[in-house]
Amino acid sequence: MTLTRRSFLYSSASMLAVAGLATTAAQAQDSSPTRGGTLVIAQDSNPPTLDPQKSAAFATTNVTELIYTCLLRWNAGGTAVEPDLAESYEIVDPKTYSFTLREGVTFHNGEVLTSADVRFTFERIASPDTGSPWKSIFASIESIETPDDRKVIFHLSEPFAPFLNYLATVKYSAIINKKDVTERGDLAAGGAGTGPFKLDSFKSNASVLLSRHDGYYEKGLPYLDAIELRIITDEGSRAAALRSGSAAMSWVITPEVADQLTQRSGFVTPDTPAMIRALLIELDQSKPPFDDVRVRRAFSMAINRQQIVNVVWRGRAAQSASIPPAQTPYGVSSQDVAALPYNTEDLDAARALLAEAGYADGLDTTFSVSPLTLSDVTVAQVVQQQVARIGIRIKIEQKEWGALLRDFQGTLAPISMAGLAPAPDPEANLRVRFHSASSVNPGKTKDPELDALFARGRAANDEEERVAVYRAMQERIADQAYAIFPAASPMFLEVWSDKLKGYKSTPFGQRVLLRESWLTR
Amino acid sequence: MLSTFLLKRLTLLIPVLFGMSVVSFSLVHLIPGDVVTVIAGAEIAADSEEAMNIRRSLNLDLPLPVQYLRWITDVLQRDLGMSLVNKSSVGQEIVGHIPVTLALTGIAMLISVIIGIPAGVWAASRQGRPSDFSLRIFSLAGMAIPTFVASVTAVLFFSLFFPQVQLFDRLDFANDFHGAIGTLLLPAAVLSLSSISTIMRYTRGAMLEVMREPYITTARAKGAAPMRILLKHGLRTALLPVVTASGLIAAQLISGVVVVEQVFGLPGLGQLMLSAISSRDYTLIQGTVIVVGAMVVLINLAVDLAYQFLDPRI
Repeated sequence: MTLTRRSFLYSSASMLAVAGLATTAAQAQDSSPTRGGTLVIAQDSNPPTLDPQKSAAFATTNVTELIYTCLLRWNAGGTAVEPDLAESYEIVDPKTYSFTLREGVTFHNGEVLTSADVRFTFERIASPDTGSPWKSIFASIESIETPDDRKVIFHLSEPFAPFLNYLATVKYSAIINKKDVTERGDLAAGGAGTGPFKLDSFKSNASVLLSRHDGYYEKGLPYLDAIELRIITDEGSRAAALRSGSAAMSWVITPEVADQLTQRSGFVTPDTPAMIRALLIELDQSKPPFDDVRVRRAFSMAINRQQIVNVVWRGRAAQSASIPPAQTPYGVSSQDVAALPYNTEDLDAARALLAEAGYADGLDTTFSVSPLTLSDVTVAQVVQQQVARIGIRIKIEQKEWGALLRDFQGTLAPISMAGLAPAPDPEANLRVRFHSASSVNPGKTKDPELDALFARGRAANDEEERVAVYRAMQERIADQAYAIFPAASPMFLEVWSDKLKGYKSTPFGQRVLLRESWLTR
Repeated sequence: MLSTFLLKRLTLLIPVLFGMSVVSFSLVHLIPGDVVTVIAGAEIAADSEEAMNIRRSLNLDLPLPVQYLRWITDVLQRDLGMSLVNKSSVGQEIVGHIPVTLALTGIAMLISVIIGIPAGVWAASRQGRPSDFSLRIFSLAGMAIPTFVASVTAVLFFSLFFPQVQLFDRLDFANDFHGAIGTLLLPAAVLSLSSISTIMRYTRGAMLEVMREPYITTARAKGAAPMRILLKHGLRTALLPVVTASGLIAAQLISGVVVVEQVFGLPGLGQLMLSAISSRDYTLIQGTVIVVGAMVVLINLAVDLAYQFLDPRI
């Protein structure tokens, strides 16, 4: 009940501020951080587990990235990595990475971080008994050397340019404590991390309570006493929780709900949300009709990408190539997408290509999509209308998410669509979808030229060279129309109360900057 | 005699629950997609080494009949097993989620009875008059509005016009019982919309029928007070079909609770089941299905017992 009363006081205080009575006091508080307060977040889905090494669920990462930290971290803009648990690092050669750990870092259970914990972390991922989805990502780690308590040297079996990006991402590389894991046996119900907040309780489908870790290594941080993630799965209800002041932070997906919130005062949304979620329409290249490159190119030219952006997201999205534009510097920028081969609408050319391929009378096909993200269905409907103009008649099949994943991975439908989860490195999503050796290659793409580019991208440690490689890859994918990328949208629209200060949205939807945020009274 | 009846009904419970376990187990494995894909995400193929490791660690590589036998043996030893995704005990998960559902349906049932029965009696006593007519219109509307529409409207309405009503407060039965019940009042009221109407209509119908019986005429003839006739002679008999209906309604409320819990963000059994289904947590789905099923069966049993009490002839 205290919480209720407090949030009521907050809202009456802000009413006073609006009336101009408390403006100066409020402004004074804005400029300097104040400690204390509990931030309530309306969380969209229940974390299936809190073990950072055992789940790809976004809801799990939402919690673990407040509890755990990694050797490195992303800078505030999400454009480059910087030291975190490691105070410095060195790339000795493309196959040897050396890290020196910060001194005096403690886990939430009081244990001091040593190189043995880092080693244990990656050994646990590699062990088949753990059943970690990240095993193959770190498969190139050959051995880990720990000459002393603060030094860790990774020896790789082959050059692996994305390595540092993965090491900076909690989803893949949260550093765990050996003693803690041994004692608990499992981290599903939470564990000890080195992050700014420690776990107090997790009640599934109800709430996750976190409180300040007093031993956090950045002095003075975090400012917040506690964070409560209250699980409210219904989007309209999350918006209502924000409006009524029950929660001070959340995110929404449906553009209409976002509009309702942003049109009210008292809420902050990022000015330019990062367009990080690229939608990918897979075309099954192992069977007719999409085994013929002319049909795929016709499909691509029948699409009006800007119309999709305008109709589905009311402009809150952007044109995208196979790497989303927010993945700088690798992604092709939205303005340049139209310049990629077959990416400009041209119905006559499309019809001609289709006729040339023997489909002068058009063709019938099915498109599998999941309403989990409602806008995906709208995209499918717009695409259906657009390609109908050249005679491709699509039947849309809506599938529940788990069922769609099966279709998508197993290439069970000629056309299927899913959003690509943001990955820390541009190669992650592309390799999984387009490398001939990948087991999740829904379009069944087999292209030696692309495979060669993948190998070059991994080996190149120079950023400029990597950019050139991934630009070439996007060009190639567009030219062969292996898949259609209708647009990239923000993962969601983040909304928070203006009582929360110092917070910034990050491109990958990580709420890590809560470590530097504070609440005004 | 009551005890043999009870015994007979309880024995009947066993085949029902057994059938339910078989059906829920098979249905769960018929849902396309599997728990491994959900754990590992879209980037990991179902036949990759990682996926195989996960599958093995969850014993999902065993043949289905073996999996069922293992599970049912555990259940018979009063162990509903372990959640596949977060490794917690299914029994404890259910115990953690059941208070919200019980409280929600309990309050909704109470509201329905407290409003529905008097409204039904009143409507019956003024049959054909405008007040009877308008009550019937209201009850029709109450039954016609689906729970999801009513709950979304309620959330929207209160958050817009009465933001001081804290819709999404944390429920803490142990330390703040009154606060928790208070938070549940609005969701329960929404949930009871259709059941109020149903109970009202049943009561009205039954009352009208009973009031035409010769013994009511006799009571009138001997000069009993109208109120006494209505409540003592009429309602007591009319309640019988209402009690039957209440059992059905309670079962209906338990299913309606899924929607209300979802919209109001309440951590009850419905939410547990939904999240278990979307993450394909087989053991958790089976566990909740068995428990919810047992609840419905037990409610029906309670209705039969109440029957015995109200009308010893049965």
